[in-house]
Amino acid sequence: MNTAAISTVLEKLKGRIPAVVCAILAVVAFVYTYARGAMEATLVESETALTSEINQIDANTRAAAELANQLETLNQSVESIEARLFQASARAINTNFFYQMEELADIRVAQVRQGSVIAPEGNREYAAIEYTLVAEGTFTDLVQFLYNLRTVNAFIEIRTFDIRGASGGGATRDAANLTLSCTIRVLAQKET
Amino acid sequence: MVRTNFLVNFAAVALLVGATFLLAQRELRISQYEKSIDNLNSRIAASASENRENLRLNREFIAAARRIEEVQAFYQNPFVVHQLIAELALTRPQNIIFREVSFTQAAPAATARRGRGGAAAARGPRLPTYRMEIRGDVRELEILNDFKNVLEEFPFATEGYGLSISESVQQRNQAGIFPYSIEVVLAPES
Repeated sequence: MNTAAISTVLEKLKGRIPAVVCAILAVVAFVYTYARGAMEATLVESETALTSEINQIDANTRAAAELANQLETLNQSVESIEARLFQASARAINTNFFYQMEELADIRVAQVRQGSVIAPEGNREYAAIEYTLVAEGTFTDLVQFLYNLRTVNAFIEIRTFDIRGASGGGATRDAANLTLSCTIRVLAQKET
Repeated sequence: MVRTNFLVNFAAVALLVGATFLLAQRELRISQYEKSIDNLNSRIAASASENRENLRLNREFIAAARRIEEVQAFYQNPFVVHQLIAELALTRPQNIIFREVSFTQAAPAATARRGRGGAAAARGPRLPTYRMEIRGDVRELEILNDFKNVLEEFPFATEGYGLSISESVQQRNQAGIFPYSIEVVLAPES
């Protein structure tokens, strides 16, 4: 029975050999096309990633067109800043820095006390040193001294101040001898 | 029978042609992608050293800019102290005496920004409270009151701060003078 059926099918196929061959080749082609689909997807992914990388490189190149010049200017500014920083270990030089300001404002610096070094927080680069200064002079000269602290060749922030008459005089009388006490912070190099 | 065979053979050939076309199309696309990838890889390789240099410059730029920003941030105080004192002295009426002028700043309090639902989303800037005290003598309380009004108009206030001024006066002494104290507080607004 089976043998007869097979014989019948083979008999029919004899006249359709090209169709059989073509069908087999078509199936092979479809399977191969499907298999290459995964390859194509991988290549598309790679191309997208590389295009994105190239775009980033192009953007970097465009951004960097003036970067070298700007960096040079910026580095000069940083050098200028760092030349003006105090060094916590140079206590005598630091103290003398304030005594040297006496002549600029015609006042007498009675006391300079170097306080604690405030270490930089997080990824900051610079520390700060706290100083307590006591100076004596007229009101105008003490204001001049505070102005000098602001404009002198160091980074100084006045945190607190107190101006009072040294001998009961008014705090705004030029004739009176006044005492200025102030705490300041000076930007300093980070200790290594 | 012959006609049927012809039709079957024709359909099979058409199927093969279709499959071959799809395969060719896919191979063509793959080939194009491969060429494109080769081209992109060559471009990346050619610009790699330049890109590394650009990235190095960029890193250095960020580091240098951070240092400059740090110096700017160092000056937290919104006042220029010598100007503040000088302007205060100019504002002072002639018939009021300053015996002491002091300026302090309290440790900054952390303020929290509120996110959705009232939850603290991020820590806000840490702003200190500034306090200035003037002590002195005055003969007439009206003069002190006028001076307090002048101080209320004084340009202390800076953005994000609230101004409050209070005064206290002692009893008139034997010389007929009222010792007074005026406190000016600039506190961060919540």
